[in-house]
Amino acid sequence: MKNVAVFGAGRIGRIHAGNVAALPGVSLKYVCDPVAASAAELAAQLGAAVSTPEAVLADASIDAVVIASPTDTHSDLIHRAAAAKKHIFCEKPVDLSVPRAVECAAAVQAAGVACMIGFQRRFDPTFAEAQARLARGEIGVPEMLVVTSRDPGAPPAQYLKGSGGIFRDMLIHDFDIFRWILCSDIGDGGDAADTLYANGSVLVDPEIAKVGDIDSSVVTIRTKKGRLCQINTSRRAAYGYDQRFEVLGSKGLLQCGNHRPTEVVQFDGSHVKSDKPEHFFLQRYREAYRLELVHFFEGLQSGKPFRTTIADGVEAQKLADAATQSWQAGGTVMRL
Amino acid sequence: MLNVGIVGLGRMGQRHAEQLALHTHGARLVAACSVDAGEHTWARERLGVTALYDSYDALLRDPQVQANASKPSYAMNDPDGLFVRFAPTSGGIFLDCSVHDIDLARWMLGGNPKALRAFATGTIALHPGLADCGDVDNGLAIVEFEGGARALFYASRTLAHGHETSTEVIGTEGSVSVGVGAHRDRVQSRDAAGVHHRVLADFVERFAEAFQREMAAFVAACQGEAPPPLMLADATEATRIGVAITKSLQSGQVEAVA
Repeated sequence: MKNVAVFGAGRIGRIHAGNVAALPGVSLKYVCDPVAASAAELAAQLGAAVSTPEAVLADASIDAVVIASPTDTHSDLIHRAAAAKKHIFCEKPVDLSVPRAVECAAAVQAAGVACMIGFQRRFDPTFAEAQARLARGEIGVPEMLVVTSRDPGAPPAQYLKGSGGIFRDMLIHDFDIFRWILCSDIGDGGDAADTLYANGSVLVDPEIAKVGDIDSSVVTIRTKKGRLCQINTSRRAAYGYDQRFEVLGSKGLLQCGNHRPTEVVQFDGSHVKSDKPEHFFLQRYREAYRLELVHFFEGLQSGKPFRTTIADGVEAQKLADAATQSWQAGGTVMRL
Repeated sequence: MLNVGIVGLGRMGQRHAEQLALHTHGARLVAACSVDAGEHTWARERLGVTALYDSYDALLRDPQVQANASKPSYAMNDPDGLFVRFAPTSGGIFLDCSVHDIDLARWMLGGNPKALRAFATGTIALHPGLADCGDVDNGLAIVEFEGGARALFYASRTLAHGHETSTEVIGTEGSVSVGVGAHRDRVQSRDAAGVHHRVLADFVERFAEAFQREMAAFVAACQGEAPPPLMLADATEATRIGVAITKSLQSGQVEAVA
């Protein structure tokens, strides 16, 4: 039995804690959150106890921690958990600063603990199936990737102020998809980003301009082998959470569609209707959040490397930084 | 917190036991009964259940048990044909598989209309062993309901592509279809051989969330929070219709739903 503590009882902390509690062979012992009422409510719901990071890290019975606290607390908690020899599952991003993220990776390696970063999209059953088929060579060699990533609505401008900007906050997942689909070693030695171009606009909410951010963006990446990737994102899609990608290979095409809440199709006098996409990430990636934790605990058991390591977190962060600089310079092509 | 005991730890029982122990808020799996020692070990090691009994009577005598979850033993759509071994006790394809669809038809047609007559036919496509107990591996049935509604059921144990439970309701102003194509995920690939998608492997995958919601509804009903959405009478009615269909398969004639 692995004993686990979850840091953070907010939106994503509740998801992770619920998934930990429902895994066989894993016991959720503690929930920590500075907001005492949130921690108490979540702990009571899942049969865990409320604690503090200090007490959790001093408890020898704890095998692993799940870091689901605000982004600016991640690097401190990673350092402290590594020093206490606890295995770590950390929500993305590692840190908004690449140098600090690199330090975290070094600390984890020095301590010899396992650390997985929550790029849950790699565990989405649809995306994972597409990657598996690509890796089996079913559409030949990958050549071009088109990623569409649109939120149903923009968060308040006040939230965006501390988010690091759209490229670090939102596209970090799309950069990871790019690395996973076009750069993974599928028997071809792998690949890496070579040049990157980013641009963007405020088309959704003028308040977002006032905090120095944008709400609509496009990014083009060319890899060292000449593969091409286009990412388009918006903070608003009137029809729901739009999460798709397609990858063109030498022998065919793989298309990943949106998930829908139900598979009912209605035919009537004027239309053929089906559900719009799942509302947002908590719904669309519900299974992915569960499967990434299954993968984490299986990895602890088997000692096999994780599908999303802290190095992946650092590399995605570098692309986010390059995109931010490219956009800020008015669309300069960045060499990576 | 509702303390629940589970009766039977076979394939279906294990499924329900995991739901209760791990995925159902407000319920605790405290006891189980099974005649199989291996299944006792499974419940102890995987789910931490310590009160394990050999008989249903013993489980009922356990004072900590407040509710029982059970399901009659049941043969599955099985590509290996293992279901043939269970066929003599399964009640035949219509009582084993279509009973769910019959229940769905009563629900979908609105107001649980009374079934009047049934006609069924079938064929053995792949499993000749079924002939010994008068069963088939592909069955078709038509049921007439009071008020004019009609239902057509098709059950197969031999679909080459996987598990496909699909439903179509045809109304005067349109139609609704559910589950056609048995899509396992939202990946579509195109190559020189055509356009492809993966299919659902079995009912466990297709109805994973339904099993979870079913157990949550059961616990809520035991706690008096909501009336049970499905009564014993609904199950009896589905069986009654299934019996008439099975009788028709054997007689070759239209049978009244008695």
